[in-house]
Amino acid sequence: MSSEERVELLQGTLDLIVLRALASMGPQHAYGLAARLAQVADHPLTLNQGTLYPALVRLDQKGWIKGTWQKTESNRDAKYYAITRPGLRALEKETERWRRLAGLVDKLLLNEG
Amino acid sequence: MGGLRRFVRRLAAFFGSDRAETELNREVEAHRALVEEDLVRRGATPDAARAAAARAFVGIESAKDAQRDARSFAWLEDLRRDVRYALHVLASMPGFTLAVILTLGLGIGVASSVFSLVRAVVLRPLDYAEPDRLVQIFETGPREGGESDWATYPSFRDWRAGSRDEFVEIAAYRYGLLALTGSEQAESVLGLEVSDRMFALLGVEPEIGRTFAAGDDRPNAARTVVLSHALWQRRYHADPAVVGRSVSIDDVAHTIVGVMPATFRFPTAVPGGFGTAEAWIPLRPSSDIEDRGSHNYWVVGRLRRGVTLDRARAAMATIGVRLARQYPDTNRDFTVAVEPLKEHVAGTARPALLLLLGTVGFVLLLTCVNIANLLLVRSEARRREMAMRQALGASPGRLVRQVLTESLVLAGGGAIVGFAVALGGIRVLVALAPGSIPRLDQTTLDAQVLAVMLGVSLVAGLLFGLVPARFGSHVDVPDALKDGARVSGGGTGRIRQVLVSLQIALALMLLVGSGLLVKSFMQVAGLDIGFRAPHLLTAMVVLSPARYADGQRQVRFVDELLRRVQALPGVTSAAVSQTIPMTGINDQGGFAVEGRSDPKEGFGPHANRPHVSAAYFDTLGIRLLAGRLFDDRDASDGAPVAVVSELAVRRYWPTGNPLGRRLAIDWSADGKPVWRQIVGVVQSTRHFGLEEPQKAEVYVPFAQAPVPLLTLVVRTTGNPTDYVNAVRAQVSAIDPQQSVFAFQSMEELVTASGAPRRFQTALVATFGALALILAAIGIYGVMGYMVTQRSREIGVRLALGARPRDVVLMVLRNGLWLTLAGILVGLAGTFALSRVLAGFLYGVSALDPTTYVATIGVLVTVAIVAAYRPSRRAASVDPLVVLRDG
Repeated sequence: MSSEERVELLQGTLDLIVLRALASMGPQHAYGLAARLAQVADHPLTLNQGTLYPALVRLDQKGWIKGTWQKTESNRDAKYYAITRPGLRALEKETERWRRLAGLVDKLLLNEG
Repeated sequence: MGGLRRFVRRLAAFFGSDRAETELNREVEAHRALVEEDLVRRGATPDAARAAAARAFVGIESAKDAQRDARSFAWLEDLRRDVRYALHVLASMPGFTLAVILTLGLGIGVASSVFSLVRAVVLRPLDYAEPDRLVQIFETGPREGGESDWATYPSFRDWRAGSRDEFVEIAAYRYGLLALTGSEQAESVLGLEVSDRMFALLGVEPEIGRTFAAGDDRPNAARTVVLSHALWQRRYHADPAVVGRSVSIDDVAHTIVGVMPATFRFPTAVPGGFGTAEAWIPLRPSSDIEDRGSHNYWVVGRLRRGVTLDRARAAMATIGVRLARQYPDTNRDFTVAVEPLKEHVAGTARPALLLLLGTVGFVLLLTCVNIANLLLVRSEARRREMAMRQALGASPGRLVRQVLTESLVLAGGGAIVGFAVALGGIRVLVALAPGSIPRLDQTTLDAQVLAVMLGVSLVAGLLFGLVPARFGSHVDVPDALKDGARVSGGGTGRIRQVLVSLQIALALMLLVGSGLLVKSFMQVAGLDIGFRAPHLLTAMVVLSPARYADGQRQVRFVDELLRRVQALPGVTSAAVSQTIPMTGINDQGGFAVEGRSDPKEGFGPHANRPHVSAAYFDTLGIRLLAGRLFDDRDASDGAPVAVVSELAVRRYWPTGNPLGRRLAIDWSADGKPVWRQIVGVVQSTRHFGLEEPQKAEVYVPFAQAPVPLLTLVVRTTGNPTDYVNAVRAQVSAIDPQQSVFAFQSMEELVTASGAPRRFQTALVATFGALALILAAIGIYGVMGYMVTQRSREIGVRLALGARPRDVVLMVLRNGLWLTLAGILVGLAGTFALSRVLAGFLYGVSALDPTTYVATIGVLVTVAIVAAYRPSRRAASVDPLVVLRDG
């Protein structure tokens, strides 16, 4: 497998993680999401502030999340993203798919190893 | 903050509009502010916090710069990645890649070159204004001559007068050998006598000067001539001041009025391979111009806009019926035919080229089948890889795209190879093709053919890509991973077997076709032409009508010429005739047989009537069968005599000895036949060409019936073309104003006559061999694959006591079944096409059993050979290895 394949995988995974975070935490702005990801990820690179934006725009375009401008606690303007109904359905489907494939990859890695 | 702005701009460019960019700008700025705020809250100084927040983006920015640049063209990046990956994959299996690209390239290249040829000759519009409105008009009827596209001049006049509603213009023409003399060298060129509106009808403009004006063909009009570009360059060195100058044609001064452009050809194709017409003069009055029995003219017409071919045909048919009623003696049995000029030009080359096109279509089909097969085998082998990639998160759509990209890369490679093959192929085809094919020299690989070729490669790529992609994308992931590549491919196995059978069927059809053509070719090559072609030199002389007006002068010239040529060292004998075999020139006509009552002159016995000097038969090597040949007794004042051919005897004197009987080929002014006594019978010749039907021959002594059109035949001891200059010198020595031209060896003429068949046979046989190779590769591939797939089963069989011989037989049996199925399908196809094929055969039936048996034998042998190696491999499977590893 070439290195490009990992990028593809990461992007899909990031989408899934964002959806998951929004579903469990409620509406968040980008910085809030980034902070959340920093908490759960082992790898510091995932914290790149800009990495989130392609995923957010992509999910927004798919109609899975929706952004609205709101005030933060410190009374700043920030765009808050919330998961939509199609987003919830997609999350369910993607989670299922991911679990299945992850299981296979596990099995595969164990077998080959 | 430049880094941030750049980041936002790129992101927005990736996803779309300006509004999105503003929105994003605002959002990222808010984000940055939040980061800054957070840092301050955690105790950073405001300055440090601002710098750190900016860095958070700038850092990302510089790290991912290159990637984001490309991301704004996401699909292009994907394509680049797909192509790179495809190249990587294809490079890792060079054998497969090379096989596909070469097969595809060969198929496409061969098809494109043949298609280019067919396009140039058959499909491309003629180079005249609105060529679709041009038609050839002629009389068809019971002429024994066979040539059916002629008309009489009176008919032409009546057609023109009676069809003003259907035709803008109708024009007549005929060929003439024009002797050009004057201050330049004397030469004879092929010219055309045309009615005045011919050029206007074609709608072509001269390069310089003018063409003919209305009334230029009236008997008392000033004599004018239009030159071809080639003649203008050769004879006048492209001098633009040539217009208005005078040139002597057949010793009559003509004024040059114009020069046609280099691309202009009319007629598009000259029968008999005489090259092209180089000068056009208005129709000259001649003895046959009022004769409704002399079919010596060709007629073309331009339809009025909106007039259909059917309407024109109906109108001409009406005129034809009227003329038949008005002139029953001459027109009774004739009808008028109207044919699109383009079809008429392609003429006999058309069916042969369409046969070639059909053959090449089969080859292309075979190529496609072979490639589909190869790709199917590949897709089987890659099931595991596909499953793995799917497991790692690649979507089915992504996999399909990857496979399609690979196919398109292959198709692209095939197109490049095909392009090269096509360029070379066209050269080879044009070089090999017989010169009698019209417009052949204009064959090019043009943009349209190129587009078709690219289209074929793309469609092939997509089609071949889709089938494997369909199988590839519907892989049941756990199953494929668990069992790896050891499980047989199921669905695609059956498809492959069908494909191989189809290949064999196609190969059978091509091989039977080429076998029959080769057999026909051998039949033609073995024909007795009736004379001995080697060592014969031929040349034409057209005696000037002014200087050799009467027969006695013509006879004196010929006597002197033959005396001088015969005296040349290395010359065995020399003779003249106004018509010799294989040149396309003939003098057919009716003759009278004494004692036979025939309704009218010209409708009874029919023969070719060469006027020959005494040594003609010995010079050509035509054998005497009975009686005697011409000799000194048969001079102009001798008793009128004739020699007839064996075929003439069979046809017209079927009972009894013809020697001493009388016939007549001409009639005196008062209509009485000039009787000639038959003194000899000679062998028949194939005068009209190798495959043309033979006709009766009646020879008369040249001295008793001199003509100004002569063909000189010289039998030499060496290479006949070495004598060209010597013969030319002798003609000049007698008369410096007299030209001699069209030097050709008789062997060249015979070769040219056989050229169309040789061309056709060579190509079809080549394609047949190609088909055989492709089919062999197909069988080999499928058998080999089957052995790999079933190695476990074979191992089990061997472990259970099967002998290696049994395994070999099992594989061979399998291969033979595929072959037999293919042969059955192929036989059905061949029978279905036998009617079409029969038209191209000579002396052999389209259902010739030996050809069929031989072809099937070859195919079965090839199938066994192709399956043998895989079968040996099967037998050498080590049961222990297979069972342990399985």
